[in-house]
Amino acid sequence: MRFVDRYGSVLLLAVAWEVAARLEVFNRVLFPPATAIVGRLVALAGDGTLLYEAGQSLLRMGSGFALALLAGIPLGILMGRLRAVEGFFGPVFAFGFPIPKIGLIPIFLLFAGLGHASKIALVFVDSLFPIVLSTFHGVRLVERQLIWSAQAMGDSEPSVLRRVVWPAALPHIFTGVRLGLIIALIVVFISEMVTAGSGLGHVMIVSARNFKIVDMYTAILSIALLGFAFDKALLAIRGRVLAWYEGEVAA
Amino acid sequence: MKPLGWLGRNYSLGLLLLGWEWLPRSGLVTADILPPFSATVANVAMLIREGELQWHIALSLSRQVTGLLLSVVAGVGLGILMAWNRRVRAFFEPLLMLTNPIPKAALIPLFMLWFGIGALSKVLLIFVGTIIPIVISSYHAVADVSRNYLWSARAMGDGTGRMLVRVVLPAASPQILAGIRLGLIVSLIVLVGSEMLAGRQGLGWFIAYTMETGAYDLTYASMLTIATIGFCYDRLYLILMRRLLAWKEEA
Repeated sequence: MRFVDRYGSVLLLAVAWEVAARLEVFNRVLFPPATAIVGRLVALAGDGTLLYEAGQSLLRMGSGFALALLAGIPLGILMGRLRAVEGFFGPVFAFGFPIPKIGLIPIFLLFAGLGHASKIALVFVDSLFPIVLSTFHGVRLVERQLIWSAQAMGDSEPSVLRRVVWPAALPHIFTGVRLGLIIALIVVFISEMVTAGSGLGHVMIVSARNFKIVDMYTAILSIALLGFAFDKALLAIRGRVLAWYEGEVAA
Repeated sequence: MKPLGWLGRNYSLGLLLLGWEWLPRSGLVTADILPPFSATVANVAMLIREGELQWHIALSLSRQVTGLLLSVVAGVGLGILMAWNRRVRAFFEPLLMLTNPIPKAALIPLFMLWFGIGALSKVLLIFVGTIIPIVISSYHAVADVSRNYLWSARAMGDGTGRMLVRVVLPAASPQILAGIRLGLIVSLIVLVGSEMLAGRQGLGWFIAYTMETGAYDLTYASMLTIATIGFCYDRLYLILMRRLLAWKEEA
């Protein structure tokens, strides 16, 4: 019952969609019943085609995003701790952040080709910006007194980083990681729609152009489910890692 | 002295541009896939003289501004309603939480089919792509406004409308404006992505078209244009934001 209470409006819309489609309120071709879409999703998941396409998208998005995490978090920390590093990278990230990097897709195609590499590179670059910037701000906002105290107690720089800066900056880092994840998902599907032979974005645009409407909805639904699952997973990790912090805020 | 100081602080950007100029000139990268920076600037000037570029810019920006304005008006309004009315909140909150992590790029093919490949589908895509962060930030901002302010305003005889304009919106403005900035950045991604995929006009289309026809020098000119627009847009917004919030800093 609690589920119905919480998601009543969502269920209501799903039912409204189904009824409207069955009564053919809108164009019948463009607006298939929700049950038909879910049925097709199950069928395509069963024969493996959907899993293959989703795997292609996930491979591209996952590699690009993982690289952005591996490079972005250390870079953001270095920028926050070392003036020279900030002097060099600060302006690059400040200038680059608002640029819609999806518009730079031709550069990636010209240099990295039509395959996986260009999409991975684009996801990497696009999600790197929010991760670096939030990490940097998080590190900068750590209270000086905490760092001084640790140093006064004889902590070396690595130890200060691990015991003071990292935990204090972590909430900000998570904000950037979440934004980076959202951007990574948008970018991977747009780039697959623009140019790719596989992936959910590719399935979506090809189905739309060939008027395979149910297939298009199936791809959209899979993308929605993926986005939802990723966000939930990230929030679960955040809740676990930052349990101490949430407790602090609540107290 | 001041320009030198600016250049001194942003020397890494200067190095990047020098690198862009030097790579094709040195022959390390052929000028076919990376025309020098100076040649790209000259191409931008040429496209403007021919009157081609400003047409696409005006069209793209008119779509982006319309979509973003719609979502600011509707989003801030809905955010306020959600903060003030339990029923509105109960209906929209689960819908927003469920749809927020869905990458809105997935809607590009759907909106192409529903609303055509012209301006309408792009405006609506930008609207849908940007409204959720704006609603969520306005909702939290208004819900966070101290009860004491509201009671004081009530006690001084303010009606709901007057209280909204004089107390709630000013108190909530920093968070609302931050949500709109995120919307602005996402709107540019969605705009360029959707124009690349469908239509015959606009900067995104121009990038994709010149790429397909192999006119890479023009592709670079249009990419430089979109990058400059994205950057200037964000800077103008930040200046506006600082102006609007100036009273707050002083307080």
